[in-house]
Amino acid sequence: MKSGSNRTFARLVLAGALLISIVACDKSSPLPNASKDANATAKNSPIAEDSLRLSVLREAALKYGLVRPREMEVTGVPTQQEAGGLLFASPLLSFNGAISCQDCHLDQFGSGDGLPNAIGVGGVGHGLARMHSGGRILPRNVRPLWGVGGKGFNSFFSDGRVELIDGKVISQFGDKVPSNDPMVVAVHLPPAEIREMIIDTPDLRDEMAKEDVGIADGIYAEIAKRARSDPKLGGALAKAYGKPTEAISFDDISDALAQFIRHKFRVRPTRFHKFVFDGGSLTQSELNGGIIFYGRGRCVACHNGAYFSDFRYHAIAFPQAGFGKNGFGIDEGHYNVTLDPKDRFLFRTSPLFNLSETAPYSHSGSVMTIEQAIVAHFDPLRLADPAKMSIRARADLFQRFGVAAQETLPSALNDEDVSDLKAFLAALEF
Amino acid sequence: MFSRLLLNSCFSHGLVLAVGVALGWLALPLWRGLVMNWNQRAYGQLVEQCDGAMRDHYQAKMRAAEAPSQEAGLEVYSGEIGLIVCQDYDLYQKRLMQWGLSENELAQMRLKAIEARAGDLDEVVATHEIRF
Repeated sequence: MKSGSNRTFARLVLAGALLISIVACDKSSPLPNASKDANATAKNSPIAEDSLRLSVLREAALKYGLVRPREMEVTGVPTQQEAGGLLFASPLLSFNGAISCQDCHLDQFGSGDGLPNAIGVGGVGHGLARMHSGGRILPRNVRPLWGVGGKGFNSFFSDGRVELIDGKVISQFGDKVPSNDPMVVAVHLPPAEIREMIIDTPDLRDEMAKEDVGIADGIYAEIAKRARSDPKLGGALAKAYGKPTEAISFDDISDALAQFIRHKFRVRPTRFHKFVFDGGSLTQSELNGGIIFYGRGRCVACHNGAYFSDFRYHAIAFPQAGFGKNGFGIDEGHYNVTLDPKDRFLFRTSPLFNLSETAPYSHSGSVMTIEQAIVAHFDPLRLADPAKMSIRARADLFQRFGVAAQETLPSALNDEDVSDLKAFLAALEF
Repeated sequence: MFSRLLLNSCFSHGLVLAVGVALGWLALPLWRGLVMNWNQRAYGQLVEQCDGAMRDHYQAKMRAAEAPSQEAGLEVYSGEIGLIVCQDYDLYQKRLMQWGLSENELAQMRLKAIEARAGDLDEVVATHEIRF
């Protein structure tokens, strides 16, 4: 009798064990043994194999204008690029200070400076040391230079103060534009910008702060004179442009600088380029992020084309760091260029290359992580603490929300979606 | 007598079957409850995402119909890519059905997801209703 009961019990145990083992072995099962959420299982596999999503992502990338990096490149003259490199590192471009382009566009920060607001003339050192060095604060974040001046890259600076529209360069030079190449025009601006490369003194303010192209020409003439007098710079420029040193002008200097920036910071093939054009692989998380980027995240509505930027102007209700271009913690963005009220709080869509190196993000560098930057696009309230803000700051934020809410907004993405998007953006690095 | 019956293999097999059926009968609602509970979060999330994607797609199509342009066309295309999440939703739902959930139970889970904020409303009503 005892052995019979045991056998019955054993059969029941066996049936239970069988059921448990079926549940445990079925990895596609939505039971807790398999995964806590819908995508976790797929994510454990490093290489994506979902053929539908892979082909959709490739097709979407091409449809939205992705091209091979070599098609974006503007070819230059190596000797002129080399001369531009010397100028990029030279403090002689600073009218009355000692700052070079390279002081704010550093390799270790992905061609930015790693700070929220830029520190202009008077700043010493890099990173936090520079921030505390007493240099003049510029109320905007240093824009990374990746892709700048390549083919189709026609809007410069985060407010678009130099732009190519219908083949015509629009800039603060008005009809006295120094070049038909917007990149060359763009490199004219920092050396003539007070606080950026020029120390702001009362005398200088009286004499030079007049928005006068003639005064800017005087600054360029002085810089050209210094370059001619510098044996290294003068020699390199004379050799590169095939003219005597005394004939070197600021036109040559700006051209050399533009060529150097175009060449050094040109876009190289990323893993995403290799995936789209050469059959390379992506991880499951990168693939998920890509599908969100081109699909319900609607990121591609603005981050499209070869540079992942439409080079148009949009509002994102980022928090504002620092005193802002318009003071009192306000930065009205593209409005400062056009004075059209419709352009208030709009900024140029940022290209998306090498993002992990170029923190912090936004026009004022107010968010430190890529996740926060993504969240600011669809859930900006998460980044704000209205109770701690002044009435003015809160009212300004409210105005920015109003404009930003008119943009093509993504669906409400969850943290996992944001993490996938971050993984996808990492595939845009080189 | 009972012990002798247990030694009879026909009886013991029959007993195991009967106990199994009884257990299965009793355990089925419990099993379904557990499957629903374990999967509510993930399934509810897919319900929400697919609903959002369908709405985005529909609105993009309406915009494109009102003002056709290349941009509007691309927005519809993005909407179509967004609908991929609905395939995830479908597959997940079919797996839940494989695990024994009926359409009624799935509907209950969808309702729970749609009414995820119903609790907030209860609180609002409880706080603000006029009590006579």
